[in-house]
Amino acid sequence: MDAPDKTTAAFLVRLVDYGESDRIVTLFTRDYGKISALARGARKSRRRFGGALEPFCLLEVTLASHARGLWRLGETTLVAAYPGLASSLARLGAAARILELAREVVPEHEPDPAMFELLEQALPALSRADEPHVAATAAAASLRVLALAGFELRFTDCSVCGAPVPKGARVRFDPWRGGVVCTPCGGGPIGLAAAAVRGLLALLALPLSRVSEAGVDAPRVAQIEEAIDAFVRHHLGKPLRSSRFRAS
Amino acid sequence: MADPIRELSDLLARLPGVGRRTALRLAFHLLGAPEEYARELGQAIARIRDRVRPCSVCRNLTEQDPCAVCGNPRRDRSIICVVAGVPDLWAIEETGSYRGLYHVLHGLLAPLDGVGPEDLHLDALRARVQADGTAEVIVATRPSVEGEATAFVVRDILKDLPVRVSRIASGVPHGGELEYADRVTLGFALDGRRNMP
Ligand SMILES: [Zn+2]
Ligand SMILES: [Zn+2]
Repeated sequence: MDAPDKTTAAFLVRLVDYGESDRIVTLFTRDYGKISALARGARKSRRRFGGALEPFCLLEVTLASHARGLWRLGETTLVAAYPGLASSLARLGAAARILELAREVVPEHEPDPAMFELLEQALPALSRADEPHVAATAAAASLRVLALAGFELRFTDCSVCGAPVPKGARVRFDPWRGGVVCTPCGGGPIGLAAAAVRGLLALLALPLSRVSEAGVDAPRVAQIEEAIDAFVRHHLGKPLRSSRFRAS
Repeated sequence: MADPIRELSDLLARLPGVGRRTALRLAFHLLGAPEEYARELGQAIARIRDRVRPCSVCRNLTEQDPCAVCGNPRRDRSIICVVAGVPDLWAIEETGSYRGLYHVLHGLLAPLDGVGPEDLHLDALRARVQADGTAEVIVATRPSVEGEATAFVVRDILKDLPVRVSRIASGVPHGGELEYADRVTLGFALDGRRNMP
């Protein structure tokens, strides 16, 4: 009846107290997707899980047989920490937005190794990003998280009629329709300069660790972020909790 | 159901570290103990909810305001140690080697939960340092991304004030073996992140 323990790589994406001494953790794991696990004794002693029950770190977790959708968390070790995230609110906030977005858009119990790999690249990329490039890195990572979750935002052709966006023209983005919408089709509430669209395509063409090479300037990145934020707010029905970290 | 022994032991069993059997044993122990003791215990439990408040100076939990630390004239008023919670303050008090004051944040930055710098009463810390001309602020948050980030934020809000900001050293437990040190602690120790410029 007892299945053997399973070991997998994981990111901790939520930690809530449970009863007097336990915690329930939400993990995004490489092999089992997003799962919840009971961490017995985790409230009483941080040492209980080797001090490794921390967000923003790559963990290796052992999962014991589960009942009613809840695994029991066994031995947990820290595989990689990303110290750059601790030394800047911009980097920490960006990492939180990516983890929270992934947490909110992936369904439970569905393995998604591509999403996991994306997080595995995004956290070190953000940890090493110079402050001026944090927002661009986060925007590129957010667009990829959304695309992997099945929400590929459309920027090069109209989301309604499919007509290509004329090069060099300012476009309108509509969060409800998940992309730019041409004027005949009604446009959208968020304006994107042609340079912002070009910049966005350049960001997506590069690996996350190299988005600084796209040379997209801050006002353009801010426009791209505004479009992403609006889509996420519309899709989730609420803003990300970590979105308030961008302002500071 | 209205059995008072059962009722008490059920309540005791909700305390951390107390199982059903221990709870029942404690209930019988209290029944056999001198009446005065049981009465005092009951009143002490009622008092902590009625009377314990955050200290208006350091936010330590206290019955009198300011708290015993802030009110003690023999404490060194030129140093403030910033801690995440009251248990951390007590842990430092128990070492007996710290004679300065405290500032209790009642939390750490936790962006995934939406806890930002404005939730940590840092303005009060800044105002204190400014008003008292504090010489040194020691940040004693734990070595984790959230603990380190909190330390950076504390340093940031004090940046333009003439105060030295230091960070407690973190690393391998005294007498401990490197190979058994938890990896977060070891990782941060290796990164040399305890120096706060
Ligand atoms: Zn159209
Ligand atoms: Zn006080």
